[in-house]
Amino acid sequence: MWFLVLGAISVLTIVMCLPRHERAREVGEGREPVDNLEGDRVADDDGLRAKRVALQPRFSAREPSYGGRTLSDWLTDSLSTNDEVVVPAAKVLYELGPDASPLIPQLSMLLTS
Amino acid sequence: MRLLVNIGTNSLPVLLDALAHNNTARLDVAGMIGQLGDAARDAIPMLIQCLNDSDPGVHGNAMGSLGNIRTRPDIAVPALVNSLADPENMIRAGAAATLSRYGGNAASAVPALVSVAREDPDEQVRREAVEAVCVIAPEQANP
Repeated sequence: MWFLVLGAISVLTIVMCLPRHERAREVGEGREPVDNLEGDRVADDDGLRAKRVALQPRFSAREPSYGGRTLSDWLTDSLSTNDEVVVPAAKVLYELGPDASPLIPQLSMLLTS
Repeated sequence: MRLLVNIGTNSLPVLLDALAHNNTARLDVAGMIGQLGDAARDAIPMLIQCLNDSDPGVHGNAMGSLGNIRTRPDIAVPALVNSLADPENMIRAGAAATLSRYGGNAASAVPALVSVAREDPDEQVRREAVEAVCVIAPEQANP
């Protein structure tokens, strides 16, 4: 009888813990966790949305965009041989001023080359 | 390079590195670094080193930057006074003009400037020296 009770408790424990392990593994692999429970899905959606919102400023600080294009795109344009491409890019980069700081490593490389 | 200057203080380490090691860029960097103004005060020792550069262009541009930054006169003014004895007319005239931008902070340069104003073989250099004395110590220019 005791063996049956212990066995039932073990099975219940494994069943309860399994989805969490699976979710942890999925997150670790960079995949979005999938859950079959509707309540958990809503919670996950909210969590992911919060994560995306939290990450966005960090990405923006690393690679700001202006006019829908990244700083690197504008820098590439500024090196073009076509004046129609160079002039707007130079204007954008000039207007950005200190906000163009993420480009310093690339500009340093250009200066060296 | 103008973009680096436009970015401001954050780009100063890159500009200083180019000034020290990049032979093709140092001429422009020496001139542009002064556009950062007081934010480029850390560049002053390196700009002073450029006053000994064999390239008169680097020497002249470094003087222009020193004149734009105008901090640390305690080390910049004596270095500029040494440039008043440079063999190049352009450098001597530039040194006098730069000293005048320091105003009263370049008072220690007045004896050397008076000497240049009296004895320099080049008329343009003498004129710049007289103008510098008028700015730095007007009482000595009009006794």
